[in-house]
Amino acid sequence: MLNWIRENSIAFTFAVFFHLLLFSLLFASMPEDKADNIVFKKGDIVQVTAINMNNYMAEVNKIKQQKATEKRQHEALQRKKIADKKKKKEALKKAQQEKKRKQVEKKKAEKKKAEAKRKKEAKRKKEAKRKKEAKRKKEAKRKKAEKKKALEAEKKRKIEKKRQAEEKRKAEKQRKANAEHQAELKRQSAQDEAIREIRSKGVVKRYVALIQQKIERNWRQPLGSPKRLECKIEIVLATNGRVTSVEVIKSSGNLSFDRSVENAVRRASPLPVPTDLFIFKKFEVMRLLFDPGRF
Amino acid sequence: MYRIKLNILLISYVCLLASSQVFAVLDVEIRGGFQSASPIAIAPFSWTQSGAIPVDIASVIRSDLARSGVFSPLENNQLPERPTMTSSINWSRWKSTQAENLVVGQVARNKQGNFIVEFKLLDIYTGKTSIEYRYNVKSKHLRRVAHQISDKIYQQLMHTKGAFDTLIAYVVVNNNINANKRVYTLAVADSDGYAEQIILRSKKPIMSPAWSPDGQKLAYVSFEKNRSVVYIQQLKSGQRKIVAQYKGINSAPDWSPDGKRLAMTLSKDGNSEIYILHIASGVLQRITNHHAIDTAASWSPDGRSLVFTSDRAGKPQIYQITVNQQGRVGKAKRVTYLGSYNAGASFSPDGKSLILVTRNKGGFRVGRLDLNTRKTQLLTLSHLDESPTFSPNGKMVLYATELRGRGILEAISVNSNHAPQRLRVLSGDVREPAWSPYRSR
Repeated sequence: MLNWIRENSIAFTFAVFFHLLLFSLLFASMPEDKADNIVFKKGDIVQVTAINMNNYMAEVNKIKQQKATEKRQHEALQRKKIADKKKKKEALKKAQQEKKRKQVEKKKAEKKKAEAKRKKEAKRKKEAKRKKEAKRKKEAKRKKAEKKKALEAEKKRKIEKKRQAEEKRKAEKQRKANAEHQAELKRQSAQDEAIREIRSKGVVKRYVALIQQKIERNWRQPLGSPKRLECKIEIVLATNGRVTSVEVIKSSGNLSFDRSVENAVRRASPLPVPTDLFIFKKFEVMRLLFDPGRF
Repeated sequence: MYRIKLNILLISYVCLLASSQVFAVLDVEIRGGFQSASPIAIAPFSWTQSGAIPVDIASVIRSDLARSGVFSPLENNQLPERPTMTSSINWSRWKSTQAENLVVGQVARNKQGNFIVEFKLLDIYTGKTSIEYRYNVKSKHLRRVAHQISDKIYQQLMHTKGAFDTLIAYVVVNNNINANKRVYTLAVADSDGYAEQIILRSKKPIMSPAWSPDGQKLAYVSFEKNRSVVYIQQLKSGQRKIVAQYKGINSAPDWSPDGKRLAMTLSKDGNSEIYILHIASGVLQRITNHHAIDTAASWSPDGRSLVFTSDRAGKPQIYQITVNQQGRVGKAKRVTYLGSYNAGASFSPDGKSLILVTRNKGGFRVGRLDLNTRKTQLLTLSHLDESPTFSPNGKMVLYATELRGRGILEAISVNSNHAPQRLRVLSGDVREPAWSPYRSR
């Protein structure tokens, strides 16, 4: 608006001046309208009538003149008024036209401005779109590249994986082969062990029986000792079956009976033991529970 | 050797399945075995001085241990060597014998004329000396020393006090065929029947010797006055006194454990009843009052009751009656029910059993009644066994029996059914043995 004022300063000054004139005219005419009203008051006219007839004619002429003058004046005034009114109306019209024009102009300017703005916006949008597009394109490109890269990596990975799997498979195969070999060895050794165990079990059993027999044969209990006594001893044997140590672990409570148990083992020494040292190991330390049993 | 079980028996072993590398203790069960007298070797005691050894100590010990029933001493010809106190011993040779223990000893005479006796008890399996003692005695005590050594050995190996160094009293009847007269003798001897001393000799019967608890006196019945009279006699001095000479029967004296009272059978009131005589005061207390025959009272070790024989149920059976400190008498309770005849009971030193004569298959045998189980175990198998008497340790019973019509004494271990050990066969007819208490040194 201000820009517009600046651009049309002459028009504006004129417009302001015209307006001011218009307003001053409007307000200056007002008192005159009042005087007209007083003039036309009836009472005044009646009072005047009471005056002398000689003078009257003069007076009527004078008044008639006056009234004609006044009529002319009034008519001139009226004409002026109408002219003023017309002038005013024209000015108003002109102002209105001006205003309209200005409005049109303003609108135009606004439109122009809007157009510019729109254009600018459009341009911006276009630019943005372009940028976006560029970006999109770039992104797409990037993505594509990435995808490509990923694909490549995947490919690589797959290859690696395959390689590893292959290696693993190979290792597994090797391991399996080893394990099988081990298992086979183990089976064989277990078999051997089992055979030895069975054999040793038989041997152990046989020697336990022999030991029992020999000790039992030599177990002389004191006469009259109770039948419900129990004595536990631990003995240690040398490889030749000689009893190297006898220790009472659990006494029967009857010392003579305990003694008979110790003596039984000592008397039975050397005990029959297997010659196989592995089997002998089982006989190295023995716990013997002596129980005469009830009879 | 009394072999209880021939076969063996249960085998149990654990850990057999464990691998051979794993260390495991083999558990083996030994069942059966057998009970028998312990074989023991008693080497003759060495004697280096001139002349014969007054007493063969080794032989006395051997006989003592054999008589106990729980030892079976080796004969001299079974000994692989004759070791002495100082000689080295060839253990492997001894191990090849049955013996578990070896006794070596020596006797020497010192300048005072006393005998120095030493011995060692050796464990053949370990080669260790179990006990070792030394005595210094006069010649007349050598036999007693031998018995004392037997006691030491018995104590060491049986964990029970031995009763070899004790005395026995008994009555011997000698028939003088020419004079057609009998002679009765009350005698005391060592527990093996040796070293006999005459206490009383009479042409009239002597019966029922009974030891005082201190072992210093004997009570007995003598008919020397043509009727039964109860005497108490001091052994050392021979001094004696009459404690019962009532009309009728005066018999079967038995000392209370405190030695202050004497239980007896008297018939002064018309019937055979049990009485208690308070020795110091002479006060007599009647214990039983029954029309049947009550006799042969014997004190319990706690002195609170008596067992006696009564035929109140028709046949002789054992009854028990309580007598408290104030002299209050309880009611007689029957103890034996099995068999038609149970008589002459006396308590074991531990009070847990009675030794008595029981009729079995027509014979009179010595039986041992367990007061807890009420079961009677027959100890003898002959026909006329009588007057059983416990050794003071309760491990042996001495009794009279007949051999070819003549009375003899036999000893048997209460624990076993081994053959009875005959005591030295004395001349005459031996009856009514009574085993003394432990002797004071």
